[in-house]
Amino acid sequence: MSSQSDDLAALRAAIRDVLTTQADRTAIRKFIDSNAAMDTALWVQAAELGWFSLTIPEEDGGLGAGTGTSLMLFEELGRAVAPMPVLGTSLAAECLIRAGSPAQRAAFLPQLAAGEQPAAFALPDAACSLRLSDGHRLSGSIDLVIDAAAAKLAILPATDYAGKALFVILDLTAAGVMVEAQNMADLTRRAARISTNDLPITDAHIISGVTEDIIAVMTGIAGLLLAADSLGAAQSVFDQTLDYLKTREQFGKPIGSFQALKHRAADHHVAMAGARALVEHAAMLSETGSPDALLHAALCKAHVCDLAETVAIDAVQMHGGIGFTWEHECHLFLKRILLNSQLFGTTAAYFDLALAGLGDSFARAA
Amino acid sequence: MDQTIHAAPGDFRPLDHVADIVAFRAAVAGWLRATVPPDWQSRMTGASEDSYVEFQRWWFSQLKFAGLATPHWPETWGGAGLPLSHQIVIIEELARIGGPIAEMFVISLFHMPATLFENGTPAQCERYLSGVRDRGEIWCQGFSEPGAGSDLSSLRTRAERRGDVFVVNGQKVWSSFGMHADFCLLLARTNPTAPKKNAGISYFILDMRAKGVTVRPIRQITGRSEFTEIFLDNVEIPAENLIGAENAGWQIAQSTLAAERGLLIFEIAERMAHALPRDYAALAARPDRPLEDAGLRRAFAKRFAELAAVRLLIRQMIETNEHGQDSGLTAAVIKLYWAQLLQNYTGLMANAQGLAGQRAARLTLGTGHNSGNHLTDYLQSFSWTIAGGTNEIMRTLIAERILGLPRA
Repeated sequence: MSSQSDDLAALRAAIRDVLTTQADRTAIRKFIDSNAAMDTALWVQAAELGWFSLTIPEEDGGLGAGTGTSLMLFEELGRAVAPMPVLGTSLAAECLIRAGSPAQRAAFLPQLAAGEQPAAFALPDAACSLRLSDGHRLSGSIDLVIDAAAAKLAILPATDYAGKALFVILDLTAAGVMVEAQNMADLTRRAARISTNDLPITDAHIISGVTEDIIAVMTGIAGLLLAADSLGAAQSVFDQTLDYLKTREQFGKPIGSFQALKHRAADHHVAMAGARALVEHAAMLSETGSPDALLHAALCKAHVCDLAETVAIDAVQMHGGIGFTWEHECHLFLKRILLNSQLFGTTAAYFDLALAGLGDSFARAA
Repeated sequence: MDQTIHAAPGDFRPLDHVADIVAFRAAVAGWLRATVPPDWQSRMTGASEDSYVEFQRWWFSQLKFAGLATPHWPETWGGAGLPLSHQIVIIEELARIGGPIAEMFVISLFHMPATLFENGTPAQCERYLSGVRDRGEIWCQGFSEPGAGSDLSSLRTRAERRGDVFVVNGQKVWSSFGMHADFCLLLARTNPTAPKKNAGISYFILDMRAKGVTVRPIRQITGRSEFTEIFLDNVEIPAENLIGAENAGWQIAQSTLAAERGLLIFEIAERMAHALPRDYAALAARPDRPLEDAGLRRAFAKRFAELAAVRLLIRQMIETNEHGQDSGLTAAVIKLYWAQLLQNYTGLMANAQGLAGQRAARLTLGTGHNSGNHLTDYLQSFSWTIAGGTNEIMRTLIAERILGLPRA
């Protein structure tokens, strides 16, 4: 156990080191000011270091590490506000692991593990109009698919002619697939609108038998990754705010000596301690296959993303005028955190998902 | 009030099973089922103070029979010397069955021993630890004063040495169960001219029956009189009742205050973890379907998340404490987290009852924060946001000592 946590700490330090040097302020600004879909050099380096293989099973070409490792990576990505399409890539891999056929796993997981190309993933929602005809032709569109601007592969929700839910594995570079990049308020990640018209799809590219359980599991995983990202981002912007409170002087003293600010900082620290414990606990439940795993993943998404908003909003406020400028970093964190709160389901939706499992969880515990 | 013992405590003997924690848990649970009167809560609803005190003493005697009154004390002092893992089991099983809280004995079982183990003379330890262990003596704490609340070190109760005694004059306040206490952990000023306020304070054992001690109950917002004010008028305390060195009381008081942080908060959080599913089931069963109110429903989920979080933090702290690594600052984080959670949760549940929840209710004594009356629990929750360091004092402590923000 302790050597396992030592390993995780060492891996975290290595990842942080790369992000600190390669995704520093200059690199992020360069990405923001470019029209590039992603920072390719950073992606290639991460791929070489094996970041994308961490939680893919060994038989699929990965390292087979647990959810805790995955959440550690996302916490670090959030901390660095890293401009990397890892969320979509990780979720596409998770979807293949949970719902793909052996042939689909063999065809797609090794390349995702190797980081050959970024991928995107979306869950069914009202805005998705992708339909598969009985002749296996895909038409329709889906909007605001996170990380899809850089992705070469996407796993997208569709319904078949009988109204059944399925996922299609789409080669975004293929003829007949239109990908329009969409810039988000969050400057560190880009989305895309994907549309097709009468595009032939082979059986090999259809994940059928998509049950409500699979959708729920994927919703939970997405929630956990986002909670970890928001936790890292919130901790980072909070740490920067503490530095500012200690150095910025008004009325002849550091503003951090004023109780109005000091007490809010204490509240954020206390709430963040709780949030961190919740994320670690949810990771453990997920790794052990606990029946409470989904409940706690959903709780994490709702509670931690919500808290991260509070912390990031207050970071801007405590920085005063400088926090309101484009030049200062506060808004990068705020916008990333605000986007996380909306991705794959709102805070309210995730609280309701958690509540749906509460009665059963109580019954099991009794 | 008649307290029938349903089974001979000897039938279970938890202490015979210390080597096997599963068997130990089963023995504790079996003993609790046989001993805790199933109707104790209804019997303690609207009960008189006298019958409540009698019930508390009865409960303490039952714990003692089973060897579970002083599980955390070292064997040298007649405790069970149980490892933390076993203490946790006892608390978990108590929470599960909803047994009474031995609240009148909290200072006796935690604060007094924590103070004496570290700072007491052998004679003090022998006299006062055996008093609790064998005779169920009740202790209270005499720290706060009308003019010294959050700013405790400005306390003005004066102790002047005259030969073999200290003569004490002053007033203490917020002393829980002072009217039933045999002894008091007392802080008093022995050097009024010390350069720093906290350098002139000494720590005493006060006999509550000494001449010149007057105790007056204070009625709280719940209607109950749990705490008291203590007036000290030329009270003589024998010099042998000084704990530690003269004027070293402030440092010793820190070990007293640290005693309650950990297991006590663990116990009430575990009790809340059992109350929450019951509360949820009650909401779900109501014909007016309060859970269809999205605001209420999601606020409940949020409180559930916070309870999960604080229970994890408490367990982490207890583990750290066992290895002697905790600075005491984690306790401040947990206290602030818990105080707000308790207030928010009990407030939410009180609100969820609507007008019906505003009805005047008779108090159920000894149930902590799970009396079954949400408004009472809500009112009672303010004790956590104020006592033992207000939320504001905790925030200042956390900001300055953990986050390194500058002092004002």
